[in-house]
Amino acid sequence: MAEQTEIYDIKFLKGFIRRRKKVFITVFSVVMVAAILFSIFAPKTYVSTATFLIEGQISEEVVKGMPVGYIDERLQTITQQVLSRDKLLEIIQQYNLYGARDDQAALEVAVKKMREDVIVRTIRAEDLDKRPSPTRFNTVAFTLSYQGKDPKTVQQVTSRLASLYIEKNELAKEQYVAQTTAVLKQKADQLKEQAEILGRKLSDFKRQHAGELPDSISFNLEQIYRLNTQLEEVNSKISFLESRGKNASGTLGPVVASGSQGSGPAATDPWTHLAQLRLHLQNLKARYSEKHPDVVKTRNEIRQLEDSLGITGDQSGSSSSPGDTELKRYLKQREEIQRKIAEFTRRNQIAPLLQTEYNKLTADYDSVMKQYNDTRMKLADANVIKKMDESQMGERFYIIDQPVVPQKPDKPKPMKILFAGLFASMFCGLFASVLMENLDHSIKSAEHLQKLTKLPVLTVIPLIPNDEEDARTAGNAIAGVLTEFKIRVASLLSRWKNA
Amino acid sequence: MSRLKKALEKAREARGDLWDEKTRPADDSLAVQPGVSSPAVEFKPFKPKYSQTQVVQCDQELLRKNKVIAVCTQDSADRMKILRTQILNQMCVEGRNTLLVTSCNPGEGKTLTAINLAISYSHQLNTTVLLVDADIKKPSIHTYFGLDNGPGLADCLIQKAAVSDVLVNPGMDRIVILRGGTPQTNSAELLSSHSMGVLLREMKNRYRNRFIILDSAPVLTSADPLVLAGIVDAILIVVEAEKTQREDVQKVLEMLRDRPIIGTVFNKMVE
Repeated sequence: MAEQTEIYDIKFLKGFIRRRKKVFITVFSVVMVAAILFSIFAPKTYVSTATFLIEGQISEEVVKGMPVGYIDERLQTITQQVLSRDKLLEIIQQYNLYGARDDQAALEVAVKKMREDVIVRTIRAEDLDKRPSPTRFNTVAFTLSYQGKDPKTVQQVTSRLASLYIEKNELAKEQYVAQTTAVLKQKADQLKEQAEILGRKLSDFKRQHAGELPDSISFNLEQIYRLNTQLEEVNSKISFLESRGKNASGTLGPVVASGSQGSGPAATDPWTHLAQLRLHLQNLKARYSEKHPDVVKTRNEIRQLEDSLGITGDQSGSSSSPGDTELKRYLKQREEIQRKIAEFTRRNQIAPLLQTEYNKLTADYDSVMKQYNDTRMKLADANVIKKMDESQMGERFYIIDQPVVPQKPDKPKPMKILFAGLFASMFCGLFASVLMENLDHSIKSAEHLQKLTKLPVLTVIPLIPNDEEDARTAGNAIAGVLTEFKIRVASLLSRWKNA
Repeated sequence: MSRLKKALEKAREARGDLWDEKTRPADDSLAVQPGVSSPAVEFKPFKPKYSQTQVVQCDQELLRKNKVIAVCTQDSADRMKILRTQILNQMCVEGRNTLLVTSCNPGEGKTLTAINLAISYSHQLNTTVLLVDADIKKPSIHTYFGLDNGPGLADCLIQKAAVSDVLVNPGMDRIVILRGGTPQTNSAELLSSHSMGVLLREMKNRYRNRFIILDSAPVLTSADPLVLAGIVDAILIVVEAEKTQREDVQKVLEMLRDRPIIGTVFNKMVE
């Protein structure tokens, strides 16, 4: 392998420029010319643009609970719709784009190409009312462009697409509202049903456990208190009657207060008391009729005592006295009161146990009712929007810049191409030069030769171009003229000096 | 130009002003009148009268056109002088007086260099030069001088002519040309033959102060220079600037490995 003994200095650089000047200029020119030709003859692309403003965006607070949706999403959806195969085919065939005939395959290709040629760009603006929603920028406007070969066609297509956008947007809004309304209505109905069921359950429960529920507790306590008062009254009446009855029969011992709660002294033998009562009854019956209150009362008392002593049947029914009847009545009353007290007490005892279930039923019902109310509200809002849309007050797409017939092509951009071409040419030229230089293994300087051969370079003979002699003659002539001029000036100067 | 002058100074110093003395009249007693040979004076411009050798006056204009530069530009003539001096220095041992001029490839300027060198030599006042066109396959020296390709070396080698009959003087002092002669295809064989050796010996010894320059074919296209390399005293390789490849030079050096290469000439350099 040839060793690299070349010396790199200014001389070498000058030599390099001189040697590779032709290559560089050739390659440079070729690339430059190619760039120029390209910028002139490259297929021109024209672009027509329609600018849309999104008017009257409703803020979230105006229509609570129903955001109109990110405009970006909606825009994307509409774009998908507009760029659907069917729609595009329609346009392609109407304006005869991409030279596609009825050939299926060509049409497919054309649809694909058209999708690439339609450009939608959103123009964003910061949230104008400074609500704290960091992830969301309001897209306030967007542009719709179409690029193609013929200016007029491009403008027409863009116009068509623009109107499609508006159309689709209106449609989308209607659909959205309608859909939402339908959904909401359905939901409301469901909820209503549920609420009714739960309501019934609740009322059944309430009915079933009337008085046993926690909200009856205070009432029950009141009743117990009232009944206790009554009981006391009744008890005192009873004791009075019993003492009177005892007095009436004389020998009867002190009255036995049976069954009364904590009232009266300790009783004598109940059997004795029974006997006394029977005797008393006989006396009464002799004097009065069966229906006489005393008789009835006494009879009642006897019965009571018999009951408590376990004797059934009316052994001496006929011997009741009127005093007995009243007593019996009061006794019965006492029984009643006691029973009632027991009942109320029982109810209060059960209440805590029922509380949980009651709470659950109530909660369920409440929640369903709440949902139902919310839904009703949303439904109302949807109707508001519908009304607004109908009266053109809702959010809509509005074209602020109609698509025009482009005067100048968008591509190719001559300045850009020429600039790029310039750089490319220089680079290619340089690259070619360096490449040629590296491929050239000739000896370029005497030093190099010396190093390579390790022999002395005895002399260096310059390249004599064929017309060097003429150049030499010319050079001599010029030199001669200059010398003559120098002599003339010198003599003039000396003459002035001396003068 | 100043570099050249410096080189000239250096060369002059190297010579030890020998030639200057030789060319400058030391005093009147040694003054030489041109054309008159005086046996009392040892150093005098040697101006042989050619009795046997034919003299052909060469057109100066033609020579200039052919870039026989030793005749035309001063600058180039100086360079030739440098070359000449350096070679002389290298070959100053007695008896070494044959120089082969060759190159790697054709067209690199060896013929012209040989011619110019020969002419430069002839400007020295006490030596004569014999310029031999040893490229007997494609002889070309005669064209530079505007001569026809009359009988030459080849014819001598094939025993068709005698050397003394074929020498030519081109109308300049102290230089004689031996043309290539009839082109021969078996040049290598002829040049390596016994006759060549004899011929060369005869040429060397004919005149005491004669210097012989042989112009041969390129090393990479012919075997001739390899053959001649064995019978000359020194070899000069001419290299063309920005044309001769590194690899070629190395190849040539390899081929002439044990031969007496005295140096290189860097030719056609663009300044």
